[in-house]
Formats: sequence, C-alpha cells, structure tokens
Amino acid sequence: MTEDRATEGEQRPPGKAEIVEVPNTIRQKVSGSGPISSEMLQRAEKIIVEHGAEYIGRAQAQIEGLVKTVQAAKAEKDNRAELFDQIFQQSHDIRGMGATFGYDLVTVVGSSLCNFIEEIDDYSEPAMEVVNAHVDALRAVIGNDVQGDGGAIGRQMVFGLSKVVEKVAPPKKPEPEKAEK
Amino acid sequence: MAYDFKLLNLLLVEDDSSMRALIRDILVAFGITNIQTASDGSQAYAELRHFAADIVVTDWQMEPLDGIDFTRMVRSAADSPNPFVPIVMLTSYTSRARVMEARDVGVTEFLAKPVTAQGLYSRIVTIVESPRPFVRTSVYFGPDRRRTIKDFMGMERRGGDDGDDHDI
Repeated sequence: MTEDRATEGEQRPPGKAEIVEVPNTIRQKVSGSGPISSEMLQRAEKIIVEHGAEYIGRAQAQIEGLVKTVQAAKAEKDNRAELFDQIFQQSHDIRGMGATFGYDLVTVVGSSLCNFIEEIDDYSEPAMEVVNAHVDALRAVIGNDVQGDGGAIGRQMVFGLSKVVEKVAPPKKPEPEKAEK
Repeated sequence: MAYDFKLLNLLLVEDDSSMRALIRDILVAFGITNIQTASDGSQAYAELRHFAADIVVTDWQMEPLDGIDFTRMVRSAADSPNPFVPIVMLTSYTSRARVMEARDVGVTEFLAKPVTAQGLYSRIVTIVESPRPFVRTSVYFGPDRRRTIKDFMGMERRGGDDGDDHDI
C-alpha cells in the first residue's frame, strides 16, 4: 500500500511544518503576460457557443435519466437512500453544464436540488415532493428552452422552490467563520 | 500581449465526455495543445507515469476514483510520479466544507462550474505567476494552505471573473 508523504522521514510534532520551495519550471515554459486577449476570449466563447448547440438535446437526455431515477425512488421506498444519492449525482451533472451554455436557470434549479439532498437524511414523502418540484421545474425550463435566469417567471420559479425546500429542510444558522492558522 | 502557453503539458481529467471536449477545446483556444485526457482519477494517475504534466485540471465527481482521492494519491502516495504538480479542481461543489476538503488533500486552485473562459484562464495564470511553496507536516503534504478563503462560492458570471476570487 502507499506510504504517506506527510509522515515520510522523521515524525514531526504536530504544528511543525517544513516549507518546500518548488522551482517554478512552469514560468520558464510560458512567455508573455497580461489578461486574456480579446482574440483568445472570442475564440473560447465561440467554442462554448459551438458546444452549446448540442446542449438542449443533452440536457433533455440528462433530465429523462433523472426522471427515471425519481420514479424508481417513488416505487422503491426501501432503496431511497441509494436512489437519492443517484438523484444527487444526476442533478449535480445537470447543474454543472447549464450556465456554461447560457441556461443559468438550469444551474440554479439543479443547485437547489443538490443542496436540498445534501441537507436531508430523511427520504420520506415530503422529500420526494421537493424532488418532484425540482424535476418539474427542470423539465419546464428545458422544454421551453428558457435561457438566462428566465426573467420574472424564472425568479418566481426559484422563489417557489425555495419555499418548498424550506418546509422540509429549514435553513440552518450559518456557522461562524474560523480563521486559517 | 497574452500568455503563450504552447510549451505547457496539461492533463485534463473529466468523466463527462461533452464537458471534457468543451474544456479541451477552450484550452486549445488558449494555445495549450499538449493535452492528455483521462476519464477518472485512476486513469489520470496512470497517465502521469508517462506524461510530464505541468498542470492538472480535474473534475471532482468521477468513478471509480474521484478527484479528491486522485489528488490525495498524487500528493501522498510513495510511488507518485509528480507530487508537486499544480492541481486545479473543477467542480459544481461550492460549499465551504467541500472547498476545505479539497484544500486539505492538496488541491492548488479551485474553479467552480459553470466553466467560463475567463475563469479557466485566470487559474492557469495564477499557477504560472503565483506558485505556492509546499508544506510538509505530520498530517499534511501539499501547497501552502495559508491563503485567504474568499467569497468565491457564488456562480461565476460569464466573462466576469476577476481572477482574485478563487484562492483556497
């Protein structure tokens, strides 16, 4: 098995740190400086637009997969913890792509679903209802090709979802920030 | 004048083929052409044995080996081919706890999805211009973690990355 580099050599007392300066070989391989050029940015943005042409079809397939898992969770009560884990993974993938291609509302709804699943450990019917509300929202957004934040209707949708979530998983008080040593 | 990255070797680790193709093409648009790809951490670890990566860009959530365990192996395994390689963690996870977890296994920079060209560019520039010393303690080996955790956790706006919101 592997040896932990953190404990290689002599054992250090807790809190004692050895600083290892690493030669900056990368800088030697890179010339130039400055922010991204407008030409480079345009090239990259064009690529994002080109890839985005396939996004709707892909998002539909992702949501169909999500719907199947949600249906399975509805039917298999004893297997919900595992199926909710799958729902989390699928919505995590959905949220990761939406805003990249201008579908910000997809990312917002997907994030809301992910955050909700991370917060709960009771997968009973109220939780299923919250999941269903998110899935319906995602279907509506993609089915109607809603780009950006969806305007007033999009904001209303997000607000509505937050209220549905609050009923099952009330927001926690934020933990105080701890300073890094 | 922007940076010329053509001599850089970059390893891209992402399980989603569409996202992998997108990021690869954006990197090519930056002039990075020496790119190897892998679809999970174990494939990436094997790739590092014969590809001298200058930078690794990795997704978090992958199977069988995710980005966290991959980073842990790169930093800490006795047979690691490149324990000092800068690692950019690309992920939809944005909670503070997740960021701390990534930091504590030795991730160098953190880039929240959705991907933007500006965001990706700024992480690469940070690695080029502001390399971190490494620290070895009894419980940690990796880039110096003593940087401010700034409020990067919101969604990055398209084209609105200021290049200073991602330190971990």
